[in-house]
Amino acid sequence: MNSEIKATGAASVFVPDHKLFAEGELGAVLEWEVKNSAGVLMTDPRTGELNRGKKKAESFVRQFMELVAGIFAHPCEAYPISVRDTGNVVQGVITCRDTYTGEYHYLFIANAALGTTTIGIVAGTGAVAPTINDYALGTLIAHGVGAGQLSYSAMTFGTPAADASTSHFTCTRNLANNSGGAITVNEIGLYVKAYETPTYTTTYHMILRDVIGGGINVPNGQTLTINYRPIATV
Amino acid sequence: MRTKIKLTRFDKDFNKLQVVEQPSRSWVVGMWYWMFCQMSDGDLPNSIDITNTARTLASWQDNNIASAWGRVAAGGGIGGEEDVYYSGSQRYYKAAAQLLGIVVGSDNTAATPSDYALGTRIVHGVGAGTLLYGGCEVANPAFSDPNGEMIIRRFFTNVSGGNVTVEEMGIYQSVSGASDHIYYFCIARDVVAPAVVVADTEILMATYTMQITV
Repeated sequence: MNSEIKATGAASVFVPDHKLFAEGELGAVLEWEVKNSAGVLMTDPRTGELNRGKKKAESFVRQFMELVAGIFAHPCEAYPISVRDTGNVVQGVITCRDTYTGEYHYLFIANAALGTTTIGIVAGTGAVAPTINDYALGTLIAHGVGAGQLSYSAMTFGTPAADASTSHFTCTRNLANNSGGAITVNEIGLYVKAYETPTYTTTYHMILRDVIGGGINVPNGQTLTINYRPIATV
Repeated sequence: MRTKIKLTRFDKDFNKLQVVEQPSRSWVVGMWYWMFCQMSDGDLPNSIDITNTARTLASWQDNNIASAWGRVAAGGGIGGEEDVYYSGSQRYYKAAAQLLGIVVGSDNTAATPSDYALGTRIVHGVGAGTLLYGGCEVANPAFSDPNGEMIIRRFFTNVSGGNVTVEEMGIYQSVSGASDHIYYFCIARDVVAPAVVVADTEILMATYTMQITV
């Protein structure tokens, strides 16, 4: 079965972003649309309306703030930042080693390759409302072409930009459904990669989780494009 | 995420004299440059050029030897300048303490999303129009569902012999850049209203409180 992801580009903008946020607020826009293999925006077979949506991302979870604190405070081994990973284990996250190794570690890496679901935008079927303590999606949809699976593209990122009232950049991922049946995406999240002490290995953390009321219907042969657009308004 | 800024003025015995508190309005595009570089795992050749606080283009990158990538926490005083130093085969960066963390200034021009620096930063010192910069603290976040909060704080002391008026505040980050140098980028800038006049011998505490709610 062909698992090639054919839809390209970011989901189109149809509501001004600044309308979603208060002055001075920092957040993210979540938008999605479902296209066929020719790149044509499709209708939702459940409603007959265009299969797309846009909302304020509601749920920066605690790992987001902990990792921001990690970047700002620049923790080395003596003072790691405690951050729960997607496997429900609290990790001691650091940006560098106390003993010089020539290394410095990012804490928000999300540039997932094709098929990678440990980082980047991820989708799931869980529909439980988010809490600030969520550390993973309820039920992650695996990469693949089997029943209930989606084919995850590589992540792409737009360069940051500013206009008169906002600054922002966009993270995008395409999820193609070649599973043979329709799939309903109920939750969307953003996973990132960091680095821990004392064993000096990569760790994975969820920083955003949103539940979509009613879910997003992705028929077989169609591709779901998801944008998370971090944004700040002045 | 909502953010509050607060300027608290004390006398030399730490008696509270004035509090100015207001919503922060002004996370600027620099905030997204560092997030973009982190998320995209920016490294040569994928680094990007942006305007730093000195208004020169700097290549924002991870060159694997940076010791100050995105840092806001700072020591007090002047510190080193934008340079590296060596100890044996090891290479370290010396961040200039007054050029990162919370900074204050005297310009009240309205903030815009593309601001790259304070209008007029008040420099560290003991001369006229200057303030002594204390260390910049980044507190561990605290959480109580559905809320989370993180505080960044810095003290300034006026020993200039006269009044110093604070009309803006912001946050600068230090990052590694081209030619192994440290550069400083503005990620937030707010105009403070009313202005806070810090008299000689007085102490000013500047605070950013970041809050998320699910």
